[in-house]
Order: sequence, then C-alpha cells, then structure tokens
Amino acid sequence: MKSIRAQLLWWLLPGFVAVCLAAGIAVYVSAEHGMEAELDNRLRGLAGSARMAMANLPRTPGASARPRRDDWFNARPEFSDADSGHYFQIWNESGATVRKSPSLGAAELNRPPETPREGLVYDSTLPDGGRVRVRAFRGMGLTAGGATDVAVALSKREMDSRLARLSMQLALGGLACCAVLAGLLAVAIKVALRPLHRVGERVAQMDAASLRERLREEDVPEEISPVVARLNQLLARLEQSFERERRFSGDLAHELRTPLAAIRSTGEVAAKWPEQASTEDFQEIAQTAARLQQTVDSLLSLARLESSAAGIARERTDVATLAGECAALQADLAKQRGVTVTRAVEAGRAVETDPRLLRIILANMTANAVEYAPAGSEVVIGGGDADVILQVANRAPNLTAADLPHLFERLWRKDSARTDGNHAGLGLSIAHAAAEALGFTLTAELGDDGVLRMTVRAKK
Amino acid sequence: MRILFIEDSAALRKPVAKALKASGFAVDATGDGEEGWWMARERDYDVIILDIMLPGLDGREVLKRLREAGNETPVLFLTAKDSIEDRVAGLRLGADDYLVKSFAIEELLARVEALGRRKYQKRSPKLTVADLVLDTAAKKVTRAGQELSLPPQLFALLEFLMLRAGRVVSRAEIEEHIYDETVSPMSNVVDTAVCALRKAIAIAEDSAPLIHTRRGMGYVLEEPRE
Repeated sequence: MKSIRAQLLWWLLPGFVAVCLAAGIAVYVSAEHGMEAELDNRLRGLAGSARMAMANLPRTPGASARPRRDDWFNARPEFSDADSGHYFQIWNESGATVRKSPSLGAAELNRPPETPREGLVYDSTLPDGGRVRVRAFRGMGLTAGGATDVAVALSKREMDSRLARLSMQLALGGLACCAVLAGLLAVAIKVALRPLHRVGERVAQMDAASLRERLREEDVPEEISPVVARLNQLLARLEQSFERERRFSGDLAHELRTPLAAIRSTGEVAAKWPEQASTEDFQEIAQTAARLQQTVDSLLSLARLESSAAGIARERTDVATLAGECAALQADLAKQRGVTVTRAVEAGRAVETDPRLLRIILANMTANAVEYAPAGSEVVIGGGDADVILQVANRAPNLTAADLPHLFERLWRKDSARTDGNHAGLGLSIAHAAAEALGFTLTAELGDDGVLRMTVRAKK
Repeated sequence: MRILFIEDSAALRKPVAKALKASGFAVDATGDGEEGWWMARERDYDVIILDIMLPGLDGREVLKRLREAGNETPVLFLTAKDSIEDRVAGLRLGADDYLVKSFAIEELLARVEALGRRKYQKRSPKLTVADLVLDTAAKKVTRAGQELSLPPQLFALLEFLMLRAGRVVSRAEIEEHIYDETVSPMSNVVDTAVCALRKAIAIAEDSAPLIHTRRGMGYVLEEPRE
C-alpha cells in the first residue's frame, strides 16, 4: 500500500541529509582554509623576523665580536620548548645541518631540494607523526661566505585538534538537525493528513442506514475537498437509488401481499363459517388470483426485458396497423371513461423492428393514456415523422413536472395509496424496458398546455 | 365489541369484515382514510384495524390525528410493509399492534380480542360475575359449570355487559357497540335482546338474576346483593 506519509518521508529525509552534509562540508573546508591562512600568516611573520634579524645584525659598540647570525634563534625561548610547536633548522650549502631548534630533539625537518630566494611553504611530517607547516628561505651564510637554507616551522597539532573538534560538532549537529527535521516533518504530515483520516473514519462509519448524512466540505483542506465533494455526490446518488429500491420493494410487497391476503382470508373465512360462504367468494378468489397473476407476469416480463435483449426479431412493421390494433384493445375502457382515441399515424409508415415488442410498448402507452386521461378528453396516437416512431398524447391535469422522472419507475403510481385497480404501475416500466431492448428511447414530456406526450424515438 | 376496519382493498375488506362479524364483533368498514378518520371521531370504537396505504388519508396520518385528538382506542396496523423500520415507525406513531399481510384470519381475530381486552384493562380472556363465566377466547359461556349456547349477537351483548360489570350501561351504548351500521336498530331491539339474554343465562328456576334494569338509565350486570 502506498502511504503519502512514507512517500514524503522517503523523498524529504535523504534530501535533508544531503543538504546537512553539504553544509557541514562547506563549513569544515572554509574553517580549514581559515586556519591554514592564519598559520601561514604566523609562519610568514616568524620567517620575516628571522630573515630580518639575520640580515641586519646590529653591531654593538665595544663588543669584542660580531654577534652570531643565529643569536636571534637562541634568544627565542619557544624554540627550546618541545611543546611550543615552534621549530627551525639551518643547513649549510652542502646540506649538512648547521643548527636546529632544541624543540626538534632528534627529529629533523625535511630540507627542500631547492630553495628559492623568495621562500617556499610546504607541509611536512615529523618522525613522531606530528604534522608541521614549514617555510624555507635562503639566508646569508651562517658559515663564512656560504649561503644557507633556513626553515622555520609551526606545528599543525592545534589546528588539527580544532578541526577534529569542529568535524565532531558538525557531525553531531547534522545528526541532531536531521532528527529534529524528520520529527517535525512527521508531525506536520500527521497534522496535515488528519482531515483525510477524519473523512476516512466518517466514510467507514457509513452504511445503508446513514446515507442521508453528508461529509462536511467546509473544514477540509483544498486538496481533498474535490474528493469529499465527489463522495457526497456519490452518497446522494446512492441515497436516491436506495430510496427508489425501498419504495419499489414496499410497493411490490403491497402489490403481491394484499391480493394474497384477500385470497387467504376469503378461503379461511369460507372454511371456518361454511354456512356463510357463497359462490361469490369463489369468484372473488378467482378474480384476485387472476389480477395477482397479471402482476407477476408483468414483473417477469419486465425482468426478462431488462436482463437480456436476446430473441429480438427484425421485420418490417406497419405502425399505422399497430396503432389501430392498440386503439381497438382499449376501445371498451375508452368508451366506459368517455375518452376518444384518435389515430394520426401516416398510413403505410413502417419501421424495421420487432413487432411483438413494439406492440407491447404502444399497448402500454395507450392503456396508460386511456386510464388516466380526464373523462371527455382525447388521446392521440401519432408518429411517422422523421425520427418519431410513435407518440401518445393525452391531457394529464393531475401530473406535475416533478412526477415525470418517476413515470417509468417500476410500480410507481401518482396515487400512493395503490387502491385496487387494473394496473399495478408496471405498464410504463415495461414499455420503457422494451424500447431500450429495441434500441429506441421512450421519453415523457409535459407541455405547458397540460398535455403529456410520450414519444418513442430511434436512438441517434 | 365494535371494530372500525379501514382497508382500501375491497377483496380483503369483505372476508375480514365477515370473519369479525361471525366472531361476534360489530364491524364498520371503509376503504377511505378520510372517511375512516371521520368515523373514528364520531363513534367510540373498541379496536381500530388500519391499513397504511390508503386513498384520501394515509393510515399513518389517520393514527397521528387520532392520537393528537386524545383518542386512545387500540389500533392494529394491517400492512404489506414488513421491514423492521416500518414496524418500528408504526409502533412509535402510537399503534398497539402490527400485522403483516398475508395473515391467518385466526391470528387477526386473536389480536383484535387481545387489543379489546387491553382497552378494558383485562389480561385474562375469562370474565366472571358470580357463577357466570365468559371465555372471550374460546367463545364459551358457562353458568355454575354448565355450558350455555349463545348466538353471536347475544354473546357479544353478554361480553359487553360483563366487561362493564357493576356499571350502568345505557341502551344507546349497547346499540352503538353491538349493532353495526348495516342493522338500523330500533330501541326495542336492545330490550328484546336483553330479555333473550336473561332467559339464556337463567339455567334453573332459582338462578339468581344477574342483569338488572335501572329505570330510565339502562342495564347493569352484577351479582345480586343479598
């Protein structure tokens, strides 16, 4: 599993370490350069003093002898102290040591193969391992007439120990810095991801019963607010579909259980009080059972239509003839309700489709129109235009625009009481499913004139 | 006992009303919520059987209005909706019982009887006055251990009087609870029935009279004071 926290730490921590390392090295190198420069300065001063002292030997009035050229060295106590880190050595022209500082003991400084006049600076190591910085120059011969090589040196011991201390401090500081940064990073990520956790927990607590609730969009960070918004949209859609299913199962229970209860009660009452039973009871049982069967058959055909489009025939189907058949089927009910059914389908108009399914569609549309059109009004079966295959129009004064989305829902009825009727509210669902199976669309529009138009069109 | 039965399916309303009548209940049945609500206000029923999905006025709405109006008549919800939420919602609204379609007619009758007893604060199905015992469940009447055979209407009348033993009951009350709307009772129908009931429960010459007339007020069923 990919964790944002692990990924951020994985990328940021090595970055921190690299930055700390680079900074540490830069500090170390610049400190080292500074110390070397300082050492060189001191060495230059020392060498300058030595050269000067050797060049201008003051003649002391009354003195019996010229002062010795190495008196300056002798006069400086640091060359005698082994711990002072100050050294000198003087060679004659043949390379033999003329003098050296007592601080060197038995050790000797390296003599450069050639010493330029302006001097030469180099590093050297004493036999005891101590590193020294040496400055060599040509001096006037301590021996008569001959040139001499003089080297003064300063121990790098102190500088090395300071550098070692510095590198230790840098390493410890760097480690501490990385640890603190990693800790801060972990805390920051944790705090930043907290809203995501809260959303996760909230979603985990949700179930079918809490679909009404929504996730709070106000106090989530900008980055996850689109996710939360989408989740809320999903919840809203889920709630709607759950609500639709709940209503459907409630309606289905009513459609199936009420006639069953009627059959069962009529039977049980007739058996318990046979003297009160009549043939009317049996007729009622038969009628109720027939209606129940009609509902079950409709549900089954709906299920079949919805589950597969297999077995669909394609043949030339005369729409005008079909309209005539469907109008004739509803003639009795239309007469009874005082509704006129008018056919306005162009004669000879035909489509390439399954006539059985198209008949199911039109029969259900017509039955619905005749059933619900106000008494004395007109139901018009039309169609035959360029893309409209069939259209049934009727006045629907009780219907509102809010009802339109429910028209094709299974078992939906405007009258929520579901009083005994000829239809269970499956006709339009069946017509819709059949239209889908044929690759048509069935839509319902409610005009401003209060006329409901149900239209079958070929899908574009 | 008088029952109001509100159910929109005529196919179900008919056999259930018939069974209730055959069991000695007076039944008023309607298929419309609005009308049912009006009837429940007009008359004092012992039990109301209410469907939930009703035209006019939803069953839940009828119940809500009844309870808001202070009507405490026991209500049995009769419905196709069997989910726990639906049952809980129904009971929370103030229904006393809940029966899912389809049901055994015997169960419906037993539940209606139990609800009727509840109205009169009785737990046992047996009502006793002196040596007269009426078993509302078994629909049996015995006097001094001897079983009596009563037609349903007399049984209902006796049950009505025994439930109110010791209390004076007016003719109008008897009319209202024993005879349903289809029978239009004349005032002497009650007198005739009471007279027939007196005869039916007198098993011997010396049987103590239990039903007494309170002139100008009505009848009372109680143990004769010595």
